[in-house]
Amino acid sequence: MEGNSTNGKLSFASVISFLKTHRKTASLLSSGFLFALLIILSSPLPDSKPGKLDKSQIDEIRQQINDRFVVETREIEIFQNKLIENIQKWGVGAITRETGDNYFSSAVYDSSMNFIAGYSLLSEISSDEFNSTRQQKLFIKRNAIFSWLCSIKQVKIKNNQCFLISAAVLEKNYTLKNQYNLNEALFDELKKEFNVDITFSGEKDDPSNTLVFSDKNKQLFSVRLSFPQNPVETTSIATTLTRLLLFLTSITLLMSAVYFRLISFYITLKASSIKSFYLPPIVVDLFLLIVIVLVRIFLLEFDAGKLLGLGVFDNPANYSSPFGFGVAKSPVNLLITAFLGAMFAVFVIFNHYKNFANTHTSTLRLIFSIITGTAGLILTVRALAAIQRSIVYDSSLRYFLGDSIIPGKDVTLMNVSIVLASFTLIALATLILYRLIESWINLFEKFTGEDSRKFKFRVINLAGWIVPGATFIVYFATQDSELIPALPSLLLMIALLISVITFRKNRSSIVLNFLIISLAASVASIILLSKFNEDLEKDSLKKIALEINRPTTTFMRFLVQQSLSVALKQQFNTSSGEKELQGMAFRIWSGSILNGEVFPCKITIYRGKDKIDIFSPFGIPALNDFEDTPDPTITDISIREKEIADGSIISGVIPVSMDDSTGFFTVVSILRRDFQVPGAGIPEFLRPDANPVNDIIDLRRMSIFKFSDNSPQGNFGELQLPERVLNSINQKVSTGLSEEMFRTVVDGSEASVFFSFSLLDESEQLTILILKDKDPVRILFNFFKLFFLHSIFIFSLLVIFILLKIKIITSNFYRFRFQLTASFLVISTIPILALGIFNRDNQAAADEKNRYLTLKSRSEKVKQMIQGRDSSSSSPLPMGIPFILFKNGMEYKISSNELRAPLIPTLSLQPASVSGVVSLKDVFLAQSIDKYRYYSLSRSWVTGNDVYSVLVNDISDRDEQSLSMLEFDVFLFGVYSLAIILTTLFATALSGRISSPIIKLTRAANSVALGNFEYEISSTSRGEIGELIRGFKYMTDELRKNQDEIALLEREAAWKEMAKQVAHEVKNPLTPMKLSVQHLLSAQKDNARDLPALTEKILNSLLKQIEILNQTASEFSKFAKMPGFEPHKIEIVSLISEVKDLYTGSPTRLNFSTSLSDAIIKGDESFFKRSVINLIRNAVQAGASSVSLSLNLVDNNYELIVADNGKGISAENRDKIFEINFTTKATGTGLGLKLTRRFVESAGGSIELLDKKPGAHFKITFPVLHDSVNL
Amino acid sequence: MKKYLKITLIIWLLSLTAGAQVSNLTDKSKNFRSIPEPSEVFFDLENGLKHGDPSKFSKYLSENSYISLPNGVSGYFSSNQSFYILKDFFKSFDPVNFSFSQTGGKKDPVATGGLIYESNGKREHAIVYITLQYESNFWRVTQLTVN
Repeated sequence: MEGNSTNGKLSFASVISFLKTHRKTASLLSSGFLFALLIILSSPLPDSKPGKLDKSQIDEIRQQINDRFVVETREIEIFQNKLIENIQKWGVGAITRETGDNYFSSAVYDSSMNFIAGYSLLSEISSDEFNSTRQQKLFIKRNAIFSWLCSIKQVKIKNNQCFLISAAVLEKNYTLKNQYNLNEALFDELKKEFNVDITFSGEKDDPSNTLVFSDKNKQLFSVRLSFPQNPVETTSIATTLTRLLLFLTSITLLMSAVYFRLISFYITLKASSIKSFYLPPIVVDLFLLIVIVLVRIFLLEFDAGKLLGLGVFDNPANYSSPFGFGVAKSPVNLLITAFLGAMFAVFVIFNHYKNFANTHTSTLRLIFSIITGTAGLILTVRALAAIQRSIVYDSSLRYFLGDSIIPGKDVTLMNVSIVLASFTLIALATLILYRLIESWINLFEKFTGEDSRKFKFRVINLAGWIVPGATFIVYFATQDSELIPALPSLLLMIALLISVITFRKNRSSIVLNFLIISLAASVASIILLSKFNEDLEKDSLKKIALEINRPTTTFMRFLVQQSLSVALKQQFNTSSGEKELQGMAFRIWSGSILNGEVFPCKITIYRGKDKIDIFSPFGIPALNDFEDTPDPTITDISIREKEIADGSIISGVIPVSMDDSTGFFTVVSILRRDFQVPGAGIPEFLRPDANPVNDIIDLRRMSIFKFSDNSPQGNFGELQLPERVLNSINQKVSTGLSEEMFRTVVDGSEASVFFSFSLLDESEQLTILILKDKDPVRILFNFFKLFFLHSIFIFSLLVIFILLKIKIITSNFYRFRFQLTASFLVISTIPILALGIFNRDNQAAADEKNRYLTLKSRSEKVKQMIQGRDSSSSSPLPMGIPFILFKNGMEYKISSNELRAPLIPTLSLQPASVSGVVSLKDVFLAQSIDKYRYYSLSRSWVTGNDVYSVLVNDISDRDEQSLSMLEFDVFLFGVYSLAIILTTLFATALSGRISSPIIKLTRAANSVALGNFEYEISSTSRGEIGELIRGFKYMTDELRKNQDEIALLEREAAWKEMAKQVAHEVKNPLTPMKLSVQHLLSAQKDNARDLPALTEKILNSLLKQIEILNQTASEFSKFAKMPGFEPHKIEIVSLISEVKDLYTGSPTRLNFSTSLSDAIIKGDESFFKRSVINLIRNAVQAGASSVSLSLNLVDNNYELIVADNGKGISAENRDKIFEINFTTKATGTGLGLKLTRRFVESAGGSIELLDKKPGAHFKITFPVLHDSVNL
Repeated sequence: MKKYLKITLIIWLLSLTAGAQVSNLTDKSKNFRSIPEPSEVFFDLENGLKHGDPSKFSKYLSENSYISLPNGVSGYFSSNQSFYILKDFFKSFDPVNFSFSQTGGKKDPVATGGLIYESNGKREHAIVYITLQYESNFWRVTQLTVN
């Protein structure tokens, strides 16, 4: 048994069972739990301003950081040992499998210190450095950009003694201000975790703030810890623990609430435990709601995003706008709210199914329902639009024009939030609208007194259109909505109506209804997303205009000045080696404001007049040619501006170190280009990776025109600016208007036009942007792209519901409908899935092959260039391809500095001629730098005695990737997702259609078997099934006729037989009685002597005969009595449900509602069912379209109300209905209600006809039979 | 009692519905009593940046403001986003002092200044660059750069 503990083990069910039986203990435990919760809640959280750290706290942090370093060194060792095993098993190629995205990077050197394979950055280790460190296990490697903790181990590869270096990044001296930045270095993690600053230590540091790390008693390195003055986060461990505790408590509470709700659905409680354990659904729902609110508060107030490792979602750039009414302050907030909301919506729907309310309500209540329902509907629909707008319009997370079919974690969860919120709101809106329509029907019925199917259909139609229509009109009457525009509103309403209609049609299928609701939610949210994205595109026109006009001379000078100030903070040391100085320009760029801007710029480091390092992120030729050699005599900052053909260059220089006579200088040059000249490609600020805004702009539909002092300065895009549009804008500008957006027709297409007029640098700047409307194909593409993501949610929901109803499904496994649905699904889904997988694989393979061929072609170019040149030449190869060339494992040539190949850590395999441990084959790898993914190719060849290897990658090709293939991919997946969902729906509907007549026939046969010949099958089926139904109907009609005739004949025969028997039995005593009386008369005539004695004797004889007659009459009376029954315990909730099931599919709607899980009385099952059927049959024969049965516990009695909406019972007949032989029907026997009363009374109950309208209302009461009573 | 409860519920729901409409109308009409001079805007900005309190100048933030901060934030944001971004920024970048070193431009006002702040226990210096633009009869911050 579920509730028992088995084999001495404690199960959850046994605990619950124990708590049920030990209510006092349960009460104590729950009180204790709540008390503990109160203590936790009331205890103060760690003080946010605790003052300075004391020594013990500092020591604790030092210790923990020290421990982390020890762990790090152990992890490197473990990783290295595993890598060595793999290298010995598979050869040196294993290094490419074990590194890649791994936290650690590795490289292999041969015994001659030649680099063989691994990360190119580790190839920077010179043979001198190697020799000096080879005896050490651990050492630090630093350059301008990274610091690495390295570990060396010896390894034998193909009998060659080699060295394996594995390294973990300790610190990154740069931060990228774009979406690809990743802070995974150990220093970054420790800084974040302990809120201290960690830097490599100088020699004069305070020992108390310095940590020294050594290996085999030799100091490896030391780091300086800077503790914050105001350590808000330093007690993070205690705070995290408290938050974790609160989080767990809130989750426990939520789970308890869900559990209580579930048991009210699924666990059948015994009558005896009802009073002690049962909680009414409304109480549980209220409890659940309160817990949901509490959980939400807990999670949000205590940074749930960070706690759950979803820190990215707390990015304030993704906060919502006021449109969300504060519902969502961040994506995490929205996700939690949407999830809890969806859970609540599911329970509300379940509740609706469980307790379908009695539709017979008062007029006031109906009017109240309609008013509140309409207001609720407006709020619900508005909330849906508001939440979506908040997220789409006012967040940096975009999806529509992203370049990947599978979006990142953040965008995925954002969309999941949206579809969850949509599901919640559409589910609630569906329920509200459904109830509204029901209320309308009832209200109309009350006012008109009409009741017919045709009438109902009219009312449903009317209500279905009036309610949302009224909502629509009321909404737009109050404002010119920017929240829900007309077309999306209409589409939203249509989606909602479809959901309501299917909700009405599939009253019994919860899973199907949830599926429809989620589909409607998905469609509704995509419609709104699409609309808001369009708005966003238009709004982005303003941003583009601002961006075009942002680079003023003042701002450019500020940029130069600020970047130079960053250079001042760098540590320039005359003793620094070339490798250490390389990357200094990159470091200055990353620390300056230029990182994050897209202006073409160049940062150059000079020692005296010697150029040491240069970084130019966009590689603009105009800047490459710009001569910026500093004057070594300058002592302060100097900024100059030089006019060039299409703009000007603002350049600044600053001396950054005066340690020796030559000194270091930093030069920053920025190109301020006049607006785009025709045909120059995409402007820098519109590149997809330049700004998050750009993701939502479809450049193919946009054109830009720039005018300066009324003369054209440049343009971008394919559209032409019509003369009339320009004149119109000029006219508006002359009236003082500085910006406006309007609609017009350009090149035969509808378009939005935005202009911005401003005075910048003393000249009039007019910027005009034109955005053509989206074409339908683009809208369809966007739809499928999002639908693919939503379908994941819909399928997940379907799986959850299937698992929830698995018992029902397994019990129905052999049912005709189930097997039919499964067959349809399997047959139709397999080809779709197979086709999808096939196309996807083809697509992926084709994409990878294209990338490989591109890189191969590049490496061939480098090879040809090498072979065609004097190999001793040290000049850079001007081919515009970033590469690194190795000769016999040693770095030989690299591409020009602007292409910055050395900064890109690349995996390579060098077939070193000395060792020959690597074969001459191409190595094509997917790699990443921070979060940026790219492909690289390593190719090797032999020329003479030398082995050359070249490394190329497609790191700078992001813009050139074929979007059309991705678009195709997205489109394909979206279509397949929709196809599978539609297939599921159609399969369910089709199998339902096929199996429905058979199910109806089965129910009808069962009903007829129980004697209900009135059962009608409503079916319009044709063919064999139709014939079968007609045959069944004919058979039922014939059976009913025959039964009537047989009954009549039987009654006649019985009467005849009875008459005969009565005559015979009466005759028997009558003959002697007659003879006695004749004898007495004769004696009286003869005046017999013994007359008195004779009279006495004869009279006595007569009395005996009369007694015999009396006995005979009694015998007959006994014979006529109805058979009796043996009373025993019966459970009437299930019996009523069985009777209700008999009428499933009947045109008369039967509703049964009860708050009881079971109800036990004394009686007879068969008689009870016959009695209820009697009442229902009477209602059906009285023309009722719905019959409601409600069972409740009232004053220790079960009260069953059977109410119908038929023609009712007239006042004059009310007193006669329980009399025998009374009937108002032509074929009635007049026994039904009489027998019902007899049964009810024999069970100790009573039946009465209530004075209620419409229809007839019977109240039957039965005394409760307790479990302890034995019968 | 039930009747009163019902009436209260109806009024509450209707007021929510009406309130939903009104909130949008009020959002759209962010009217100010008087149009301040750029110098007044800069005064409020200086005050807000000095105290790390964006609410002191959030009313001046444009619906398309370009924000660039040392914590990696860079791009165009709505006034609401900008407010939260700055609030978040000042949580970990605690201002010690701020003052504008120069303000200028009557038609396109610009101001630069030095911000001293503490982050991770270290005192740092950053340069602030702010531009204003005349939008809908009001001076709005269109660019705020801290680095």
